[in-house]
Amino acid sequence: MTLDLTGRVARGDLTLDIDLHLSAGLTAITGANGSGKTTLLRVIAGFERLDAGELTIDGEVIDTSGAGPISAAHERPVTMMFQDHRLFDHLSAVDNVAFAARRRRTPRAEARQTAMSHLEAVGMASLADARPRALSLGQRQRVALARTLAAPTRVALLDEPFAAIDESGRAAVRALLPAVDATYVLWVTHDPADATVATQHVSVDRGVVRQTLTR
Amino acid sequence: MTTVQQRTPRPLLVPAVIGALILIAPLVGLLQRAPWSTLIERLTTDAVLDAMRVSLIVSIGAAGACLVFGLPLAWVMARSSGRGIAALRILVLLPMVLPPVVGGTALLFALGRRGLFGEYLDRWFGITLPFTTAGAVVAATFVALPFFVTTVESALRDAGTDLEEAAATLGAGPWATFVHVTLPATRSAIGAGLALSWARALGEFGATITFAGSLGGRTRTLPVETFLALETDPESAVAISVLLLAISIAVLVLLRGRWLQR
Amino acid sequence: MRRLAGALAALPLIVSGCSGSGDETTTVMVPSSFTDVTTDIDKARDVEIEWVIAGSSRLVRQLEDGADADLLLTADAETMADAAVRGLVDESLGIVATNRLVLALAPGNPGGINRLEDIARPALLIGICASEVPCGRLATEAAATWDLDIAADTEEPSVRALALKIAAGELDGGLVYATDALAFNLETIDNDRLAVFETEYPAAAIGDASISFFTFLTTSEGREILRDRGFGVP
Repeated sequence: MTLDLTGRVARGDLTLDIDLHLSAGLTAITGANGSGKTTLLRVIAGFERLDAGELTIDGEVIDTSGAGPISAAHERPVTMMFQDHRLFDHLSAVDNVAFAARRRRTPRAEARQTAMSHLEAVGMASLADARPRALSLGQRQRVALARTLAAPTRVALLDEPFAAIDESGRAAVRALLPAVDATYVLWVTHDPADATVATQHVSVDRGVVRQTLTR
Repeated sequence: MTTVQQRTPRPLLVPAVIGALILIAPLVGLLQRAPWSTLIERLTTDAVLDAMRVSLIVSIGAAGACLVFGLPLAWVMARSSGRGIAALRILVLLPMVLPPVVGGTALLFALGRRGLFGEYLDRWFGITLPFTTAGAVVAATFVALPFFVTTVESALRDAGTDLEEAAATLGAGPWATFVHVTLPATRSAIGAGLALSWARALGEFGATITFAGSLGGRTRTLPVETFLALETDPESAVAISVLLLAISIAVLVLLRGRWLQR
Repeated sequence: MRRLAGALAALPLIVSGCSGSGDETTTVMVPSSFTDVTTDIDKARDVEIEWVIAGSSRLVRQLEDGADADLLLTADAETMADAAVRGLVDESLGIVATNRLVLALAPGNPGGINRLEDIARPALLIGICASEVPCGRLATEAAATWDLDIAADTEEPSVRALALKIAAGELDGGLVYATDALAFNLETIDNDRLAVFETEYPAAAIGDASISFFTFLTTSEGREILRDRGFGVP
């Protein structure tokens, strides 16, 4: 079982040549600012189309530059945590986390209960009823992480999940990564310490995306 | 810490005052001539009460139509691009600058009994819009819709697609995303658009009289009543104008206070 | 109060200009139904006349507001009497023309109207003028006198707007002036009971300005123009 992404994406000045064959587990993605790390995640999530090549997850064709079928973002077995967290301002923290379950028609009470356990995991249970606007940047990022953890999926994409969390909290949250309930966890990071938990590394450098190490 | 306020450059001062006066003077004039002592009496005659009822039905109906048809239109315009959409954007604005009488005439040509589409409404469904309350709602919707659509479209544009993408990655399809994310995120703009379009529909005159005519209790709205009263009973006309002015001010104050303040 | 209402009424007319009565040109105020006559007169005469065209009662408001004019023509005697009582006109010049009510029909007569009483049929789309304006007052008067039911679907603020809607086929028929029916080339139902509801167009001079316009209307050439446009002449 693998996640295979090969091909090319061109967006303005940026062109990415991609050749990835990821096994289950944690994959750390590194690269300079503006090198295209976020674009890479957006291709997998379904917000950018491949100009050439193919994306398959466990053998299922998700996107292809040919005439084949393409899954829309919401139909893919993929969830994504964004750099700017993108919490829903009209929902409390716990309802943000319960969002994915509610869309799957889980009863409200049950969805909230599950959401609370995820909030506890990121240390945000005490602020479950707070609106995102009332939270600090670091707190919002924790809630966003909990929301991603709560979305049942095969692929979890995390775009710099720890950027706004301070050093002391970072280690605690990093410890959660192996607990993410997804076959493939890809996360963008600048922190060399992250490398210690990753089983695979991907580097994005001057338009070339490739695996550098498999442990 | 307080910021030192910038001093107004002298050449701007006089035109600024004149500009404000152009807007304020007519209102003061109207209020000064209002028959205050008989105001209640003049506003509670059968004719005026009838017009109030018609106005309420027509303006609320028009605001409702703006919500039902304008919201999807605003969404499509905000989320699409291309030459067709650019042209559509101009067309949507047109009723704002078009003389309402022209709008009413155009409505007659389109939806009147002998109109391009109206002929078939009449023949196939037995629906004739002119000279009916429904026709007045159509006329008011025609002039009010741009206010709703532009307000909501710009809010949708400002909100962007970030939250919608987030919802998609959490498994929400396009409709669920619209209902559970886009709508709540833009509800204040939708409220503002509703208030604006309602107020515009309430004040609508030209398109209504041209397309729907004027019959007490059916199509004679407050502005039409005002226009007719000017012929024989100007004081009552001013009394109704004061009422409409008060409602307009209330709507704008509400908008400033609750929705536009951020 | 009245001045304000007059000012409101005058707004759409600012473009037609209000030159002082001291000028060479004569300023003549005429009611809306005279619109076509003014162009005919301009064509027939080599004298420049500044026309102010509006509903009769609006013309009086404008005068009250201080508008300058040399001659006032109204579409009914009541409005002229009103102007006289307020001291806005100086010398009454008598009746210039007459107009009468007709039942005008939409092109092709879709409502199948063939007698006056048909205007009581609720299934038809019938229009009259609002009772606030002269042609509406006349229609109300006629209805009361002959005990006619009018199943009106609209009471239009101007007879021109009413005639336009009949001509467009949006209304099956309506009570308009003979002149408007003629202007829109509408078929009419002639009825003696309506014909008696005639309105007179009196003229009055303002100040001691020239009254050559008035004398022209009483010449055979002037009367011909009026007749061609559907007016009666005294």
